[in-house]
Amino acid sequence: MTWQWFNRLTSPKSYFDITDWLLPPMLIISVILMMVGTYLGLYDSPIDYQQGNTVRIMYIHVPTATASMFGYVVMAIAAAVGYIWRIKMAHMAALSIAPVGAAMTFLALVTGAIWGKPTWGTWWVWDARLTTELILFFLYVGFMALHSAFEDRELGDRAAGVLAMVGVVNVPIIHYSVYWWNTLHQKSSISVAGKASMPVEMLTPLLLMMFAIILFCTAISMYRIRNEILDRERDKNWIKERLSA
Amino acid sequence: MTFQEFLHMGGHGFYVWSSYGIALVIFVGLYLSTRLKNKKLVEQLQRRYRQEQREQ
Repeated sequence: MTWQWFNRLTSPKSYFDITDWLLPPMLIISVILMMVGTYLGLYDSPIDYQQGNTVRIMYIHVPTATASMFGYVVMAIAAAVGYIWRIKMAHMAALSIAPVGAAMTFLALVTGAIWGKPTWGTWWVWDARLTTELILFFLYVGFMALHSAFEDRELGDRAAGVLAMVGVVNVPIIHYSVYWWNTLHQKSSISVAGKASMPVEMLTPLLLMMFAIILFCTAISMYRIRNEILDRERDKNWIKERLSA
Repeated sequence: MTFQEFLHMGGHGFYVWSSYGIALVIFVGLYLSTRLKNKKLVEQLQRRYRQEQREQ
């Protein structure tokens, strides 16, 4: 049963059939939830007693940072699956996630800098959390650059795939950086196991934005996989039939 | 709260609004670039297939 699903997902043709009806609702739901989360975050949530209104930056900063790390793990797993079992779809998935992940890393870094100025008094500091997140950005960009450096696409898949796999060690370092080193960055405010250190009026928009942004990134990555398939499988009959209809 | 106060964000308006503004640009950009790429690919392939058919 599970393998059947896996086989269907790794077949480009059924991937098109599935995403035909799956992608529009994913995109629409994620945008609606982002709008609700933004309304709550910007307007209908309390200010922080120390930070005032700047705490509202959290509803963008934390979800994009989470998405940047989550995206990298998924990209590395896809690259590993593609590398080990030589599954083309997995390589296409890794390549499609990279720009989305890079965009999320960029957003996390920029909103972090904008948040840092009024609260820490500086846009940037070379501490462990900020530096490892910057390395994450370079890993994403490096992955894309390395891939495009190869004339032979399948060779590029494998070479960039190795970089993606090796780079995954950076993700737990980002996560634990605030515990291992003395940094300016605060520790996690929410965790899967523990109790959140914020009122529910803040937690609701935060979790909402987190879910919405990850859903949006997933949908965009899946959309990009379709582009990648069109590009790589252009001589296949089913694509010709599909586009000629 | 007046609309002015909402925009002002207790003196932190610039920081809050620029964060949300940049995020909006990135999200819209991600969607549009992906969609545009799709459109280009489809048009390019359709042209190619038509050409192939003529040559046959």
